[in-house]
Amino acid sequence: MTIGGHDVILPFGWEPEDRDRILRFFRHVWPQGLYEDALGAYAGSFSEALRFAPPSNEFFVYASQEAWTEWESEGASAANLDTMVHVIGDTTGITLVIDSPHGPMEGRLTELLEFLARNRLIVTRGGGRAA
Amino acid sequence: MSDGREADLARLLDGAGLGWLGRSDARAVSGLLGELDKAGAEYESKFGTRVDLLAACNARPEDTRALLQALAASVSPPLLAMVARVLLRKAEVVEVRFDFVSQRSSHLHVVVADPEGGRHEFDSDRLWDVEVLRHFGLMMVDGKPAIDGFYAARTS
Repeated sequence: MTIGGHDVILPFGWEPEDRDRILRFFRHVWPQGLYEDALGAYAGSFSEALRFAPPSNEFFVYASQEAWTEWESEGASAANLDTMVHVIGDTTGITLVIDSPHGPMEGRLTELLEFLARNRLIVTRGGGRAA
Repeated sequence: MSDGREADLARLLDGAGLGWLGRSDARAVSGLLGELDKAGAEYESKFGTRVDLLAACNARPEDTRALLQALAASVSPPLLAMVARVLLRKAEVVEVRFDFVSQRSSHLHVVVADPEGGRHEFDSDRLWDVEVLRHFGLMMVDGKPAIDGFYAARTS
């Protein structure tokens, strides 16, 4: 299967809550979307995955069940353009592999970046820094 | 039994960056455990599902640090039950209203929706409950505002 695409690297080291953040974001973007971990060990709706999927810092989000089926059988194709994001997180950053950084994904990536960044800014009173 | 639960909570608070609470006041952990249990009772009353929130925190410490931070910030048991719904059932916040008039009144209204349907309303006149707003996952999606998630503040 060919994935190809473009890597967009967000300059944040992976945090355990990042999968929760990313899935909660994408369940608004793609309400009928599907989560699948990189090993193929778990697949389900975003809301189910939020509750039941084992922790993972590498996974796929698909726009729909149909998009998942198309990707599984055909890989990247004109028919499934911009219907899947491959997420890879590590200590140096969060990589999003997408078809194109332009088009419908452009604004969404900006919004996801804002969401991930802003939720990293708050600190506790006991943490020694002001909120 | 209670000592064991207090020890569990003290450890979890430490993991949430709040270990200083127990060290500065020996009674603090006991008091917080009582509030957490009240929140569990509120959860059962509101949603009809029995839940031991301490056990939930033990089972999923990374997911529930924000609940403990809200607990330590004196958020009331009913609003803690709301937080637990967002964290444990992955409910979404669909409505928030905060009315405040200095020296006069404070009112917070929050509505959450379960992923499989069902809306739940929460109201509070306690100013301290506004703390929950600091932890909500605020996002824009296709140019429209959404609130989803409840996240721990960083402690370092």
